[in-house]
Amino acid sequence: MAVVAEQQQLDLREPKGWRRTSNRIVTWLMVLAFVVVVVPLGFVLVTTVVKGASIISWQFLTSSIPPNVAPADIGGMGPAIVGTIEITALATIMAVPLGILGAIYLNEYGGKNWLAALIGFFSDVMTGVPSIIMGLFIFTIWVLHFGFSGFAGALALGCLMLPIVIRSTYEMLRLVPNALREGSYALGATKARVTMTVVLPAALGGIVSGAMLAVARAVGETAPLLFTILIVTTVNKNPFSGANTSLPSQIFVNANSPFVGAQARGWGAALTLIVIAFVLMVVARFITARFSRFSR
Amino acid sequence: MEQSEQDVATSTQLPKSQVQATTSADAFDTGTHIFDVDKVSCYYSSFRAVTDVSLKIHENEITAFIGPYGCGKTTVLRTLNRMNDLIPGAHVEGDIRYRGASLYTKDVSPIAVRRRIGMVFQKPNPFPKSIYDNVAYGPRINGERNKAKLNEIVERSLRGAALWDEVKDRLKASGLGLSGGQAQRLCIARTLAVEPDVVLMDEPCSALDPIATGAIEDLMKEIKSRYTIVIVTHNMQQATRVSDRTAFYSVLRNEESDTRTGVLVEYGRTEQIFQDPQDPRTQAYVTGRMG
Amino acid sequence: MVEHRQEFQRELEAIEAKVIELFAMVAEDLSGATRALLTGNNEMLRVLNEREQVIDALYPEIEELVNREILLQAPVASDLRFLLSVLRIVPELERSHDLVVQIASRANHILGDDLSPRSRGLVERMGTLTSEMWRQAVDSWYQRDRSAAVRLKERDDEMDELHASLIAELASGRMALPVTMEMTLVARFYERLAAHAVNIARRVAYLAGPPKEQPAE
Repeated sequence: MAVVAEQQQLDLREPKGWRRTSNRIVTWLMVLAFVVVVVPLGFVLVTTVVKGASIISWQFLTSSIPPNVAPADIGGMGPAIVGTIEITALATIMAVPLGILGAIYLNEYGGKNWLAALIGFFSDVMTGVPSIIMGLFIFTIWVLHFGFSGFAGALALGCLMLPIVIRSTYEMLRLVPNALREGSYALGATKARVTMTVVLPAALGGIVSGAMLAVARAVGETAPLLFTILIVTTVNKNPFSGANTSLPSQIFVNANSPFVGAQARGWGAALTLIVIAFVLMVVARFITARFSRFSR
Repeated sequence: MEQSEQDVATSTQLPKSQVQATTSADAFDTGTHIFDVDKVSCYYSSFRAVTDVSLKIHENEITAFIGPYGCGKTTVLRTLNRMNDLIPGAHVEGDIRYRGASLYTKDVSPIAVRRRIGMVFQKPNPFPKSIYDNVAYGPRINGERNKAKLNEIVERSLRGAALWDEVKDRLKASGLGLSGGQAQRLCIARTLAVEPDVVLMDEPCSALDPIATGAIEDLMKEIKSRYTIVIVTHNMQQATRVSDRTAFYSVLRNEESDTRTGVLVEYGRTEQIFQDPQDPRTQAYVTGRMG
Repeated sequence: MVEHRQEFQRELEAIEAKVIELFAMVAEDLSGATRALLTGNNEMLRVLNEREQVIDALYPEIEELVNREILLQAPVASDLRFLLSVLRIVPELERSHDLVVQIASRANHILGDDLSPRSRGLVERMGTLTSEMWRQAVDSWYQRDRSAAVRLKERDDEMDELHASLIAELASGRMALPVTMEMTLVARFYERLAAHAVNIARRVAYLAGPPKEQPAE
């Protein structure tokens, strides 16, 4: 015969009182913070799309840049797109391998010696240098001797990208568990082999996305290009000589113009730039996923 | 019964009676000596982790290192294939001879040493590559490019590690997707693929369940006729199940200088260590009374 | 440093206590039985039979305790040697007590004065020797004295001599046939008891382990 006892209903919820309230407050604060961040971003995107979408067309993407007075339906941003791609590609080719190698030295070889400390320190300092200073720096040491060129712009952008690549690659390398290195050493691998065949492949996903981040940053920079490419409006297929142009630079110029047509083209350029950055992000995700397929 | 001789460095102030290891006479007879560890002390910078260890490892035997935490058994194991070189500040006094040749002279390449003396670690550490690439890794870095030869090596090593039947249909799958026991066997296959002479194992089963442990122990007994195995283990039943000889290490505390160091207390055939231990410290440890 | 496995240690000590109890009963009853034989005292037999009941209950209990410890505690070294030795010694103790009861029961069948003076003397000496050997066996167990085996072997040789003498005396036909037959059996019992004592001392040598050498200072 079961005797049913009067049991207290077990209440496992957070007891009423300050803790529950403060939990709620903080949760709402976090949501608020998120909204505050997302809303302006949304604004920017929406504005750009709204203002620039109408002008985008194949003609826009390939035609040469007309004078500012020209109305919106004439001409396009072709040279700027070419310029952006040229200059950013050059900068990437210079900065990314250098940055990866630097990070490898810092993490795998340098240890606690003075050179590693030096490199690390200066790399961190460089992250904080304003981009226009980079432009001025390249102006002084390169442009004054060799003239304006896309290559000079690439140098300036490269200087911007380098510390980002070093820092992110370094962090990714550090995340590779030491057990993997030991496993490789125990099979009779040299340090270089260990780094190349085990550490780098394991960190590659993260390294690539770090590099992509750097590229995305460089794509949108204007200030360092001011003193290095001498913004022009013609296509210059040779990045090594002669002035050049880029999308951000054109946006800068066009936004300053009082002419409606120029402004419209500026918006179109802005939208194009955002799309390029977006495409870079997607490619980065794809590459990361491909390289990390063994990490699951 | 033979006593090994010890010269206690005056700087250590360790009582001689405690530093001397007890070694049974037959530890030195019969069979080839693969390793001759000769008065080895290991330092991490200025910290002396292990003091004056001397013993001989026999070919085609399984030798177990047992002892409490901090007694230096893993340190000694790692000196056998120069893995301690990877730790900054680590250095070794004394000599270790492998098949008669010293491992610690200046012209010895640690890379060459590790190709002949492999190591399996406590936590299985398969590379984030495919199963095939994991096993083929060693031969590849040794220069093997021939596809057919690599296929043969991979199959042979996986068979040798009793893993072939379980993975033969998914050699391209990630090595990280295996269970603990399988992953450890993969690491063993990877080690066997370079055809070493000696396999060192640092608590290979401590992260595994009893079934996986049993599989690995069977594996050890099966391959010992072709290799020499030295295993560090916390599990004394494992030592009794698989090893031919057992070395018991302990921690020696110096009260005045407040230092600790690891010492070899007793080394002999496993049945003797676990049935008739000579040293009271061995007796206290194996019966679980004291560490 | 703290000693661990204290509960296990207590259980081992409990087993030891029971084994000592068993030893004590055999040793005591042995001297009693000899006296009973020589004085023709039947009273002793009743006491001994009661003791036999106690022992019949005790030794399976000890064996069960030992089984349990071996199963559950994975003993090694001295713990293992102890438990295995107990397992081997307990049957010897049980059989020895059976022999003691047998000796005392012969008191029923013979009267003290049926024995010739010489055979009486020999039986006394055999009884004393056996008791002494048993005392030494108990001590050797208690002290884990591995050297006792050698000493007991020597005493056993003495026992063999006494046994031979008694047999010779019995064969001389000085006593009645029934008495002679009983005494032959008794002689055998004492000789067997001595052998058990020697066996036990040999087990103690295993239990005590190898001689420990002192490390040179």
